[in-house]
Amino acid sequence: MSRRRRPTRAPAGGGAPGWRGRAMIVLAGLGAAISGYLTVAHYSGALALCAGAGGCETVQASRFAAVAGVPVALLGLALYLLLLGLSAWRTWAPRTAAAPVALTLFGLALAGTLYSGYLTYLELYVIGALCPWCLGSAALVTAILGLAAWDVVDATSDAPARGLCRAYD
Amino acid sequence: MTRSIQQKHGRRPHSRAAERRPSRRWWLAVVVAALAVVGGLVLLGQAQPGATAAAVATAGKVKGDPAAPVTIAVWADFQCPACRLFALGPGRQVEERYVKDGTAKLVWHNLAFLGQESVWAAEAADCADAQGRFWDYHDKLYAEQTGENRGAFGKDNLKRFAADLGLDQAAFNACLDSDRYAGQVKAERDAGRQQGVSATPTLFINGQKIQGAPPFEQLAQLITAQAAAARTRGEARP
Repeated sequence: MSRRRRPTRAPAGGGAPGWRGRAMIVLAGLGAAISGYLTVAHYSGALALCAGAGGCETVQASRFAAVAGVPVALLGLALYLLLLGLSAWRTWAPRTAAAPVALTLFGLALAGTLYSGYLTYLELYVIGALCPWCLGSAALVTAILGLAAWDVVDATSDAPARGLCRAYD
Repeated sequence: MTRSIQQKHGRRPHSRAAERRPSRRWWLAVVVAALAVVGGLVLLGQAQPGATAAAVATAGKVKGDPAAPVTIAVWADFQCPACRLFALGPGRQVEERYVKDGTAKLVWHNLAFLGQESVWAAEAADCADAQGRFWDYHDKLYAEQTGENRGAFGKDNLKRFAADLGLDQAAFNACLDSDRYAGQVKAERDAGRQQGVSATPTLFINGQKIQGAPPFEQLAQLITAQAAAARTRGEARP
């Protein structure tokens, strides 16, 4: 009986981020939806809806809701759209400029995570109210950071230079 | 074998440049760039007036950022027990929550209508204001309030409060003894009555009148609604 040989998964080295890319797309999409909603709420003057808890109204009404006239929610939307685009690039064109794109993705996610951490500190210790939407966004961008870090390690590994694929079992 | 797999997968062999592994410098550059962006955003946010929680700006009888989108005008009498309850309760909560973060500012108006000691207390507070200490004196008066026109706010006690706060005693005493601000206190009371203020405390939150000392939750609701409305009108500062 001939044994059917199965190709191994292509190693990620310099290659496709696989499920991680798709996960980043989903997470960035969710983040864009949240920050898009908060941006609309900001410009419409409507108060963000809280799911039974939190102080969205307080956070939204605080002076920290905008930086130099730009709503923080809009900054978040821009970030998530960039992350979404770069994640899509990594997923569907994994060999094109893999390392620079992965590094840029990582850098943006790092900046987003650090700034989200700062905003959460403000909510806790300065504004005195927590906004569930903002916490959700912070969790999303942190998750993207983890995946992006993983991706950048793979995308910049030596594997491609050493032989690309491990052939067959 | 490797080559055949590359062909099967439709991959082109990598050029040397594409395969070059980014050096640690690139990692460092990305991390530094991210930190710089975040630092810039934090500094921009901090640079906005009133953004620091520690200091609440006071300009005369205004507490908070003068450009705050929500103005809470407080009409009160220093002898009024309900005003004391407001000042020590919801008023302080509003200060902590909305004045420190620049959402709202408090604007004090004397409505000295409960007797002579109300007038003297208001004059004394204006004398303290002349030394830039209105709000400290305001807090002291409410802390010392014990009853209406029973000597608590006699001139001797008012001078003692100033001494307790470390004000320039000579200047304060001269100001109080000369009734320098008597006309101003009376004018303010008349202005209040013309605006329909007939009881204390009376608040105007961006013009919306509230009589009595409302619970903090009600105030919070009104302040956030007014802040949102101001933002919609484009009046809110960045």
